[in-house]
Amino acid sequence: MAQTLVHNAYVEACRKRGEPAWLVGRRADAWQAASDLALPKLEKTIIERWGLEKVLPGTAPTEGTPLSRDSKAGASLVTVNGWEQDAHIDQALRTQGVLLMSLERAVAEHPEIVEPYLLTRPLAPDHLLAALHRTYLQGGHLLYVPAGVEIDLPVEMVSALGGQDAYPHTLVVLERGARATLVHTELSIDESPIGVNSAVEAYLGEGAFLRYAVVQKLASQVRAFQPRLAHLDRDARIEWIVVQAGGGRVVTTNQTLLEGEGASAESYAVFLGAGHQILDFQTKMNHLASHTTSDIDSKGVMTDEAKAAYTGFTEIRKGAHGCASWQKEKTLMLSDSCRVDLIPALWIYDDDVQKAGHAAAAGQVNPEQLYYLMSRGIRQKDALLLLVTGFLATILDRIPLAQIRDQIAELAKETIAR
Amino acid sequence: MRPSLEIRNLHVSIDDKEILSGVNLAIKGGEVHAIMGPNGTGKSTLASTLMGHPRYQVTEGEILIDGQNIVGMKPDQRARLGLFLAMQYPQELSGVTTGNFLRTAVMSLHPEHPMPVLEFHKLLTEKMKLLDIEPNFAQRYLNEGFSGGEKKRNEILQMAVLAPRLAVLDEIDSGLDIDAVKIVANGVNTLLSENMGVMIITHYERILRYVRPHFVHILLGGKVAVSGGPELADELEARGYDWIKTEADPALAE
Ligand SMILES: Nc1ncnc2c1ncn2[C@@H]1O[C@H](COP(=O)(O)OP(=O)(O)O)[C@@H](O)[C@H]1O
Ligand SMILES: [Mg+2]
Repeated sequence: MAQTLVHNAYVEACRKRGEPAWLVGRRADAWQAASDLALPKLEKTIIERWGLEKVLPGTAPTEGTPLSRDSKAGASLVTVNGWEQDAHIDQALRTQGVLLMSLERAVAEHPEIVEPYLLTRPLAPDHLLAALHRTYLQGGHLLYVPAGVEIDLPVEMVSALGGQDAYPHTLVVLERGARATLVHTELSIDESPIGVNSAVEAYLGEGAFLRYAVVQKLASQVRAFQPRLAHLDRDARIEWIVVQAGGGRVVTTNQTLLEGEGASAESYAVFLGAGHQILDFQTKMNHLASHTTSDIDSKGVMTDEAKAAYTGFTEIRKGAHGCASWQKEKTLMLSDSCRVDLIPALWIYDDDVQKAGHAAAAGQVNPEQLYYLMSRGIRQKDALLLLVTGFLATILDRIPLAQIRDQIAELAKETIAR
Repeated sequence: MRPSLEIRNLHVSIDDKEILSGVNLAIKGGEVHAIMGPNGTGKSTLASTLMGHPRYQVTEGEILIDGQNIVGMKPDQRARLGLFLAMQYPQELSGVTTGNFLRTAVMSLHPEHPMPVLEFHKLLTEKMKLLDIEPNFAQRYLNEGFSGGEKKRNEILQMAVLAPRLAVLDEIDSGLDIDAVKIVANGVNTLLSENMGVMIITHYERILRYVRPHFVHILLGGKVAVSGGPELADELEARGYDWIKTEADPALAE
């Protein structure tokens, strides 16, 4: 009942801000569906008491404290609770038709680009949290790269959250043959215990390439539901780099739908857990067309009382011939009371598979290695950091962005130091 | 100050089984001591206990560095007092380069004088040359995929770079061909001075032809059964260990 009142007020506010009818309509449809839906069923994580279904959108733009952006980036965008705070795009890119702006502005100024994509596809299996995102999405980001345009330097996107619940939505559209690297940082501007329901939708046209790096370092009291989803057309390629370090209670799915023949996806993920963090992390690859390939390499470092459930999920649908997929997941546990469940899942419905497999391992610090390092005068914390760096090396070696590698090293240090 | 290591009545157990039962030894800077004894006699146990390996329990006795008892100290604290152990079985560490590891170690040993990167590289290059080590060595992951000989050389390289005051070399010659033994021995000789005492553990007298010990001790039955000068090593070479069992301690003979 209270939800309905809030809902009605929210939709009214959207209408008043001049949101186009198509978007208001999509929100309304999602809200209709929501009443029949339940929370997602997760294999190992109980989210019933996290209150994610009670997360509500703010009603007014947030006046942000100025955040600095990377001045070297050819294009950068900073939002606070989804509202545009600072946007910069080089003239050269602008001339080529590249767009980088808040979603709010994109909806108003470029509906012809946003409307064909935004919320046109399911975000996740239909469940309440996905429906609530579709209902309430507020603010966020658009990166649009027209056909054939290649952006050399990484595009920077900073999503700062705090003070209120948030529903930011990130839409990435790369037309046929476009190429871009997007570095997306999600951070907190304060320690407030907010709820976040944020989604990323990426659409890659034929032969497009996207390297999407996300560094989530939200404050430790944040509860979050974070689906990230990419649709790949024929011969498109995505490279995910997911660094999931922040938030107190987090559910995230990182999913690639390989819809066009010859599409391919690689995913490199690092998740870090300390204190009382609880993380449910899923990497999903759906092979829906022939000759698609996917490769997942995920590594987790856990300490203190932190808990993680990691699912690596690969589906090869019937009729998708000659696909190849591989997944590897490995965790390093630094404390006796942390916990990790690794859940590798392979669903293969086609008989013509080129390659498919997985390897999963959870391990602890090798005391002999620790002793060896310490025998050279290295203090325990520094020795652990070396061991963790070594553990993550196979992933770090695959990340071509020095700034991300440095951030991982920094976050790993914080994880150990807690 | 001239370094000093003193081991007094040292008793050590692993999983409640006593391996060392009253070892006494004293080493000063500038001295080379050889510890010999058959396999399984507790030489590595002694070395690991000195370094502070958590598995080895000191049940009695003391280990003094410059008069300070180090029993109970963590390995890194001992290293910062100047102790170094070239291990019989060095660990492999994937993802951590030898260079990065050594630099971290140098920084940890001398936090008050952080060594600039260039200076560190100069030092490393110089020591690699001394030990006839390929330049790409520093970029390789620590001991990963190293041959037995390369691992041993890496131990000596670490010693050369970290410049300890008291170095314990556990079976540094095993797995090395004769040329490599000479190179390693030459490395040790070059580093040897009043400011460094050395304990060479071996069950094989070959390396002692190239690094001449001032003292030779034979570890048997959990104790130093016999001590002597370098001629003791030659005698072992000629006669084996059995005569010691009868002469030094008839109780040890079967
Ligand atoms: N980590 C260990 N766990 C159990 N027993 C050990 C361990 N290390 C050594 N020992 C035992 O202690 C004794 C001495 O071994 P060690 O010190 O390695 O001898 P050495 O180096 O003289 O060959 C042997 O009986 C060996 O089996
Ligand atoms: Mg031994």
